Amino acid sequence: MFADMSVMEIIQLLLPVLVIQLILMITALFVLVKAEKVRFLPKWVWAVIIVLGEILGPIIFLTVGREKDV
Amino acid sequence: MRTFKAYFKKEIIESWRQYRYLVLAVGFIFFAIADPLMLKILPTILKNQIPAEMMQFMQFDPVQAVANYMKDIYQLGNLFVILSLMGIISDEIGQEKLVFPYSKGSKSEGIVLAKSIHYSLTLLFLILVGFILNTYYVNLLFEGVIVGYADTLRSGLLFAIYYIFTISLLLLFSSFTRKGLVAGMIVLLFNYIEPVLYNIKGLADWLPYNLVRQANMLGDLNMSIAWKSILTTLLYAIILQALTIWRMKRVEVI
Repeated sequence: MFADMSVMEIIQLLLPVLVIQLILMITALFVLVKAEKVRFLPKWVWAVIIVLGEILGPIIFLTVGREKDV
Repeated sequence: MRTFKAYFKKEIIESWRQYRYLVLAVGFIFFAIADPLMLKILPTILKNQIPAEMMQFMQFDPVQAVANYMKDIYQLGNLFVILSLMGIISDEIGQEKLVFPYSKGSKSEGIVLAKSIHYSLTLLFLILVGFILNTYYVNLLFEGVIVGYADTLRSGLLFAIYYIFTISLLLLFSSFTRKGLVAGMIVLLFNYIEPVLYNIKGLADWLPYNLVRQANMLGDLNMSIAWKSILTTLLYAIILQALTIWRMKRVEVI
């Protein structure tokens, strides 16, 4: 199937996945920058996890690493 | 009813603030789209790395692709649900957030039911959207017998009931601890032990995990067996929530 497709068509097909991942990564980085404190790891380690951790990196930060609002 | 309404609204606001909706939506919707795409790309990626005779095993039809999504949302979906909801009650106990509502006469029944119904409806919605998207992509990308939306939605409903049970477990264990992570680990352990227990003869029909197995049958789903599992699982969920209410009446709020 992909052999017959142009690069543009493959990108279009993958676009929803890339957009979701990008939104998640940007949201997590925004929360990280805004946060006064984070849990378990230093901020820069969380930044690396968010950027390199694909889909799970931002999720782990948002659920485990973020200091909960009181 | 007053407590229920107030807590239901509070859960909606808190879920936005704590990014719970985002995490849960990604858990179910991201994989609904990504799974069929990855499955389709896989043979192209591995073309030069595996023998030609092995390539025939890398050709998937729509039914296998949906089954792959269901496998992922059982394993990863559990992780996403547990990670985002593990502090569902323990956070409030740990941060002493219950002092004010309890002193104002809030009922523990209302608190537990509001949390349970709110997250059950959220997951039901996300799971059904996930299954619809997955069916659309699977039928678009793979050749073979087309998977019907009715079949996948029926499977999605079984998954949603399974997750209602998981939420009830989280509510109960979360009410016993001030650390959400402890409750999360216990529920995660229970969820990973369930497939092992499923192999014990006579026990399989009584486990909520049976719903996951039934959901995997898609078009061959036997509703008479599924009904038994649905009712059993809902009964477990009611018992777990009754125990949570009982526990919440005795919890130390300070």
